[in-house]
Amino acid sequence: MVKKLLLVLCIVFTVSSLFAVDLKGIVRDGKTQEALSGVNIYIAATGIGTTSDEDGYFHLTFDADKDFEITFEYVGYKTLRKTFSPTEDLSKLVIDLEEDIFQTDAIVATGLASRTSKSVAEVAVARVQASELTQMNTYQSVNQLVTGKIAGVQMKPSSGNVGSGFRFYMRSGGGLNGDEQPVIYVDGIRVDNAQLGGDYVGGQGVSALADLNPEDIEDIQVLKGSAGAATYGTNGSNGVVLITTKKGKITPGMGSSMAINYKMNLGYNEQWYKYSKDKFVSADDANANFKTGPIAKHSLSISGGNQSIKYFTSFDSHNEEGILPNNYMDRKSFRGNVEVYPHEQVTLRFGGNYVLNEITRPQNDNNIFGFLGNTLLFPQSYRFTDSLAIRRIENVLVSNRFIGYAELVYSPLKNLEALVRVGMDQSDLREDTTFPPGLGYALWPDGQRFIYNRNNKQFTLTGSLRYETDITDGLHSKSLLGTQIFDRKARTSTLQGQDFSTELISDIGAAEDVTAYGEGKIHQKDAGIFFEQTFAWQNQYYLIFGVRRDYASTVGTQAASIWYPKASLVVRMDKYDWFPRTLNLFKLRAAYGESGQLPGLTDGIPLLWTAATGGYGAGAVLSSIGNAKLEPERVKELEFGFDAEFLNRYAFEFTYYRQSASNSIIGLEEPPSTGLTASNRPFNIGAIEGWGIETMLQATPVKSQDFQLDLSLIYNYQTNEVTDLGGAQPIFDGFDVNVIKEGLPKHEFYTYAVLGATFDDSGVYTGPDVATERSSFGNPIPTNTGSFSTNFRFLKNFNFYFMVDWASNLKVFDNTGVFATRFGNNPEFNRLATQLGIAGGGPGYVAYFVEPVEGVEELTPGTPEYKAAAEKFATLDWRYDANYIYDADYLKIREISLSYTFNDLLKNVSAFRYIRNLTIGFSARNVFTFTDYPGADPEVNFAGSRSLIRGQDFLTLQNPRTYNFFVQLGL
Amino acid sequence: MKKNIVFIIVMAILALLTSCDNYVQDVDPLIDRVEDDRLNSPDQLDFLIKGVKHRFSTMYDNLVFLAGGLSDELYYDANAPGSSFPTLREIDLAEDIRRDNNSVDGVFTPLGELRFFADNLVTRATSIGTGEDLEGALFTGYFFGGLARFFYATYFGLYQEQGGGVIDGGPFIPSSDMYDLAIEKFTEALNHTDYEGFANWPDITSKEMAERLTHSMIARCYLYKGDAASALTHAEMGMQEGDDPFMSLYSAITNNVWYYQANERHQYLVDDRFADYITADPNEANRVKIYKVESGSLSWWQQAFYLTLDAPINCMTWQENELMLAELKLTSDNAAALAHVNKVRASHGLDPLTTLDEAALIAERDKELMTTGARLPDQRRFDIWHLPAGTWKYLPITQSEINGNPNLDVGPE
Repeated sequence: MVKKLLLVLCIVFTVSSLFAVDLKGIVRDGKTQEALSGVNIYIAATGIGTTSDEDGYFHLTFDADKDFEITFEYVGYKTLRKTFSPTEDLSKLVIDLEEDIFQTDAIVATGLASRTSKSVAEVAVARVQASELTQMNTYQSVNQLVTGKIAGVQMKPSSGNVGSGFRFYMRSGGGLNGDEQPVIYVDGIRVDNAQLGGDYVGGQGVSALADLNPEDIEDIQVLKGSAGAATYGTNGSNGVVLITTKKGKITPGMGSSMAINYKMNLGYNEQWYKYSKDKFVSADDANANFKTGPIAKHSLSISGGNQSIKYFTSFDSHNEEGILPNNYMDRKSFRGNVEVYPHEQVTLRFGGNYVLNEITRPQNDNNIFGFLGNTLLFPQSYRFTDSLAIRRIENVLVSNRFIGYAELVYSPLKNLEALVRVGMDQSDLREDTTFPPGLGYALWPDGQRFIYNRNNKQFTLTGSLRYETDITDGLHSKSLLGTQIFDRKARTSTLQGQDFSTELISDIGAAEDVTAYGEGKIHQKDAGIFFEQTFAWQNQYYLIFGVRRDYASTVGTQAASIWYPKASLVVRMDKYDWFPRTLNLFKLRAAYGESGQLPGLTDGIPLLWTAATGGYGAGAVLSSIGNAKLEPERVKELEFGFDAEFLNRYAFEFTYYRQSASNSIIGLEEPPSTGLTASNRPFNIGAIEGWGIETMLQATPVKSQDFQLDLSLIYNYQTNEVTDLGGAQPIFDGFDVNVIKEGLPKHEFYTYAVLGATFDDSGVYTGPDVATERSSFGNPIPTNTGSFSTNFRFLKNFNFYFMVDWASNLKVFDNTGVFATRFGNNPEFNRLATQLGIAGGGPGYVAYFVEPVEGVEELTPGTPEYKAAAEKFATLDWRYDANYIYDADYLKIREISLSYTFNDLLKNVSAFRYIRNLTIGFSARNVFTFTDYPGADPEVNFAGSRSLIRGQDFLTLQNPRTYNFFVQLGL
Repeated sequence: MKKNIVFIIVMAILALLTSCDNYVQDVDPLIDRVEDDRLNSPDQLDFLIKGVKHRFSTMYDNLVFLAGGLSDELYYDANAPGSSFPTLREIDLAEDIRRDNNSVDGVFTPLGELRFFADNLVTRATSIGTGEDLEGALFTGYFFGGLARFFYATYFGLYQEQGGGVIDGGPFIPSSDMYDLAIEKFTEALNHTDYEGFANWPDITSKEMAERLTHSMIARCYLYKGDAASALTHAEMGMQEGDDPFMSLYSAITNNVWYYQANERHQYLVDDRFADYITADPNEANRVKIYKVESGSLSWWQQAFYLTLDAPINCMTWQENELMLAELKLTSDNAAALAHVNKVRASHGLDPLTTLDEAALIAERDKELMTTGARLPDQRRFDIWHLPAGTWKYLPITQSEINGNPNLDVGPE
């Protein structure tokens, strides 16, 4: 009874104490006292808010019955939360915001649907503010935004052609299963990252990420391992890449909230590595094929908004040619993102991106029709295919793609937020290849046509419920419950025909013989439920734990399912009273998480048969070998680290991580005599462990109105070791060089060493002395990587940016060199063979292709010169791969750019007062490479991004050097 | 209120947990592949029979191509247009064939599949036990199982002079024992020739042909093994004049590799002696089919048997059976042997021989059995190897087999 009375009294009392609040004030930069416009000012509890105008003033009116907290939020500044009482004078507030140089208050993702700020994130945050980068520089493809900018993440192109695939390598490479490639989300929608291309042009596929326009990207965040990606479930074991595209912003000034941006970029790609006659007899022919490839890019975006709606729309046209003929990309991209606030409890976001992309690829890699294959292997070029005939080969991929999403955020109660996000990535690809008749192509001198169609639809649904509450004073709780569903359907079809009577009609129906036809269909689904709980004590101690249950389709067996837990702890040491003030942030963090790989769609089916057609009609042949006893792989990761900020100008981040995978699924080749060779059979073969450290040092030693110097230094160390293969034999790649073997890091080069030369009794060279056991020759994945970058703004409007990245302790196998030597295209080998008297005669491995070199004298056996020649010759013997594995440590001057902003000049000219921003700049990419590697480029891989083969150079195309000039105009 | 919310949430979680399972199971079935147990039905036997034969055809063209290169029948010339495979050159030279030679992989691996498909068909058909194609399936499984073992014994070896193969990840089986296994399979095939469906087959078109063909196969096994008496017994029951040849069949989709590699490109060329045969007797052109390839001042001879994508390859003909009989009777009944040879010659419009010695017989086999892989075993059997000692007389068992099969352990290249 008393309670009730008290309650009534409380209510009466509260109601009668309702005040009309009239909040007015100014928001400024704490240091310079400059007014800040566009600052978000709101009361989190009620959602009431406004923004400051161009002079920094704000005005808010509402009713309040008790103290309230106002949040002041602005990009580049630390969020300020201040509590006011309705009874005090609120008409002349002066709010000073502190700079957030290192963006510790920016919202980052640390797990699926969880959002926190870097200042309290429990895992190492890897975030690239792409919109800032594209402001000062220009980028052709997404990987350029990531390289050298995030600790622990390597994103490399797998070839130098325009639109080439990408290869990621995160930390120490996660588990053994799969291809080490992370899952990519754009605006919360899982996008197709397949390596495309139905026809064989060598190892260079085209990446689905080639469709993404770098100018549209706001930021890229990477969750590097299980500790962060556990709530993403199985998809997170090789890391998760979260790309967010630009959304509308309220940009005040000029009385309008609309901003128009136009950027024009002109540039060209060029060959930077010239083949040398010292290495290849035919070097001039190889170099003669290269050309400069022009780049022309135009981007237009219109964005803006007000209290009820924000929008961002863009159109981008990108035309780029590669450094070999027949390689170009013509991409048109349209995007629209809208955010609507129909009600104070509801936010609606939707958007779409439509891309039309046309890419042509040159023939290369392991291919008799390729430019490099015809000019680097034999001393006489174009033995396989005539040079004009190569140029007449057409390979075109046309894709149109739509990525769209819709998101609803609903807060029915103060601390409860429900989110539903649904999205789709739908793409249609058509590839056409034409070999015109009458040009003497080996295999199809009367021409060939090939058509490939691929339709891929993938649908992502995420739903989550977030509840925040104060359990007691100082103890805050955040609970997150959600589900994620993924559904993918892909259909492909191929048709190939050859022998045309005339080159005038190349429709595939005019082919005399159909030599291939077929179709494919895949349908797969994933689903997961996740839960995450955070306890925060006094905003100083954070304890987070969570779990995810994951399911995936398998055909023919029970749906595979698995639990993945996570737990972490964060302590803000800087909040202790005794902590030195100079360290304005010091956060200790420890996180643990598990994820992994579920078996693939058909991996659990022991034998799958398909139909093959031939001279007998359609007959049953094996298509794949599976393993009914297959279990999911599990990758566990533990990471410790700290983030520190010093004097608000220096930041240092350190992370130590340990990854351990067990029950890794990997395909084993059955011995051919079993007949079970249609595919590798997947096994849970055991375990791999990896560990490493990531460090990043950032400094802004100089900051004033006219000058600012930002420095950033990243150093990563990684190593791994296969600890258990469950008794299985070492697994070699198809070329018998890279191995998965106990006691060695994965992909290690493992072959037979050449120890020297052997001689007979009369001193004649009898061949190399080869080891009888294999030994390790190093690893294609570098142990140490890092980058250094500096951004120097001087004389207020000039901006200079410079970045260098390096890798050390890596090796590359020069298979190009092996074949060139084998076919007589290695001048040194030829000279030595002549000196040893075995050119043109003698053992087959030399005599067949190597002619005696004019003017070179034969040496006498037994003499020191002969012995030296023989010893050297033994190290060039192409039959032994070990001779061609080289150190490939490199340092690349990756980016240099200089830009000038005209804003100050324009302010003084009334005619130009509508121009908000005008920037002009020059940039260069891949400017110079310092490397031990004698081949074209230590960064390419001929088997593309998806195989056991790593670090092998076989006629792959170097990455070009690129120069750009850009103009950016903002209205 | 709070309790209700909690209850709803918990029920929702449970519902999600159970429905996720059903949700992910509900996917469209595969259209291009089928699980093994769905083929355990009598009406799938024909599909399986064709699969065995398909695999036979895809390995046989490559097999006899490499066998030709290893022997003195074909050779590699780097100057010939389109020749580029160092693996084929390596086989031609035979002095140091690497075990990771991927042309050899290209035959050894599908041979393993052929053996598996054939044995698997026998097991499956036996367990199905019924159906109109049952006998056809059993015949196919045994026949091609025997043929696969014959190929292991004749064309592969563990070392340069040691022939033989491997079955199903087991230990090395030397040629002699492997021939026995082949004979066992062929013998069992003879028990399953009572099949009406032969009439619909494109390759073996009657029961009688099936029987005679199988006897010829057995005879060949015994002959290569060195058991002349048993060989003779079966050759007498083998193929007869007028029987259609037993061939591997091709189409534009699954084409004869000779069309590309020994016609469009010239990875291997035919030895000059074949042109000499025609010079000595122009009628030989009826069976020694070759054409001239020229490039600048250079010229070579190329086979003219397989000039279209779908050209079939002989695997056993009545003529081969006759030549086996001739060989087996050469010393004991020379006149009969001569008659056999002349029968073969007459079938190509060639004048009969008046005498027959071993050299002449070898020459007859060389011409008659050109491009069918007979030359390699002949060179070994008649001791007429064209290369020095220490060179490979068999295609080496591959590195893939050694890597994956613990019973085989050989040193480095």
